[in-house]
Amino acid sequence: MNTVRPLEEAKQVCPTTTRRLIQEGALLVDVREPNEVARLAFDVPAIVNIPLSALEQRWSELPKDRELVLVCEVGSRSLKATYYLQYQGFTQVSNMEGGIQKWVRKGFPVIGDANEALAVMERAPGGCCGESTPASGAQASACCDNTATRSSPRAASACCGGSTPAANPLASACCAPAMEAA
Amino acid sequence: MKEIKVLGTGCANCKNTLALIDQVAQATGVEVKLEKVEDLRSIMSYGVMSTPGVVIDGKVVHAGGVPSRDKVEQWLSA
Repeated sequence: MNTVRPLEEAKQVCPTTTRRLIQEGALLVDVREPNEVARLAFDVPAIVNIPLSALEQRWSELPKDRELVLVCEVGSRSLKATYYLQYQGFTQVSNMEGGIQKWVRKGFPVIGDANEALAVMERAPGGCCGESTPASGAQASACCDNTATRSSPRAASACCGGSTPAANPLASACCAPAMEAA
Repeated sequence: MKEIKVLGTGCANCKNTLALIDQVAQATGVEVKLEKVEDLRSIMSYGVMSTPGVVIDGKVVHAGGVPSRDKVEQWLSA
């Protein structure tokens, strides 16, 4: 089975940078599950959906010679996916911090009713933490531990509820843990 | 001495896996160095998508779910 391959710190990009990268030819890789994509999808010209739960089987479908930006609901599952692709030898990969929730708050184009979808995300407490994948337990706690330890309860709930205006610095700090490191 | 790492971000199954390996090691008298790896980047550096993962002497021997006691005994006796 696998052996260790030390990984570089994952590159983190914001939704605005992501849009620019798409214009320059990048491919968006949405790792949310099909039911989430059906509810609300990114409206961009170059996107592929490979759920995190299927990434191990399907990563080879992705091009290694093209810039890839991994996206999900809040940027937690896509960070894991980014590292997984790095492990598989991809070098042109980034994680979009904040996920589709931040994308929507920026007013960027989506397919589906953004307001309704955000309301559903807020009602589902696990929505923040990627409850629908098999590895969910681990991931949920990773996400929640993260937010809990690094910011106030208010910021944590802003992250998980996605209800805060994009202008709130707490929210973006919360949803982009690696930004500080970058 | 075997170097054993349990990969997981803090879930209950990860803690149970760590405890199980510790138990079996004590019961069988095998000397092990047991370590928990919780950082996502470090976990992913083993290419493990499902946690808990178990790494023995640098090799991933298990990923996803708590391993059976039999399996742990096999690892330690190998």
